[in-house]
Amino acid sequence: MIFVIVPLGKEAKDVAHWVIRVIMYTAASTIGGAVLAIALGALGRGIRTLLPPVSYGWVTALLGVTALVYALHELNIIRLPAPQVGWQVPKWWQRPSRLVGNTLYGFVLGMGIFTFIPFASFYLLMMWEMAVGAVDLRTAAVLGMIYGAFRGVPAVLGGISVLRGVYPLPISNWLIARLGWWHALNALALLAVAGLLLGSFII
Amino acid sequence: MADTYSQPQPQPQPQRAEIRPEIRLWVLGLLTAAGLALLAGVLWAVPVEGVVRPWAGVGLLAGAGLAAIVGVSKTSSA
Repeated sequence: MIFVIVPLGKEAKDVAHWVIRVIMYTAASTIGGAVLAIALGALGRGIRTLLPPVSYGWVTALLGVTALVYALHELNIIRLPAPQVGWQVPKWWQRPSRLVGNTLYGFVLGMGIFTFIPFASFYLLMMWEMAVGAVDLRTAAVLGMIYGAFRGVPAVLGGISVLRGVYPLPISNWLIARLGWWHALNALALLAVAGLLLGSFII
Repeated sequence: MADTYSQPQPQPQPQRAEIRPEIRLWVLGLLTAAGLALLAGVLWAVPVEGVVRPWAGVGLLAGAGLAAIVGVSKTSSA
């Protein structure tokens, strides 16, 4: 994905076009993340009105248990269902213009549910957005925006790398080859979160 | 009946798969890090008064950190 948005040259015009594309991609990704979070938050709000009232402590405990079991899933200790669509954004979206294509990619990838979901921590994030949205939709939107904005960070770094004369393909290949490290990082984050949530519930 | 008292046939022992030292180190390191991460989370919860609220304070900070890690992981690994 990083390579879809890298600069196509080093002239001022190419760099300017890249900057505009990367801004649009990241902005669209941020908006996409927020849109999904608001939708999930609204769903959470609907569930809250339908179900009998429960203490927020139980919601925290549920999130904590989910974090713990999905951490074990990330560590390959247990297998849990990981539903996903697995759709790939079509190349033809770039045909009318690269700017339009990159913006659409950003929006769809920022939502995160239509494409591959390689990390189980995303499921916890969706649950978190539901739980937060049930209380405050704006806060859920902020979480979605953070997710979407960080989806844009590697594209920015890849572009800067090209401008500095370092083609990022070897770096990207190195990162992809270390998929296990990414899973480990996500597992550790999930465990820390599980410790925080369950710890506060139990202590 | 005679079969009951017959000598049991020696069963072939399954060969233990050799675990390469670097894999053993990786697994041990990961498990240690996992334990420390869990412990860090619990220690983080100690000064919190009451149960963490996912939408505010420390809870929101944890959610934001998780969102950032998932976001950057998804793009970097594809």
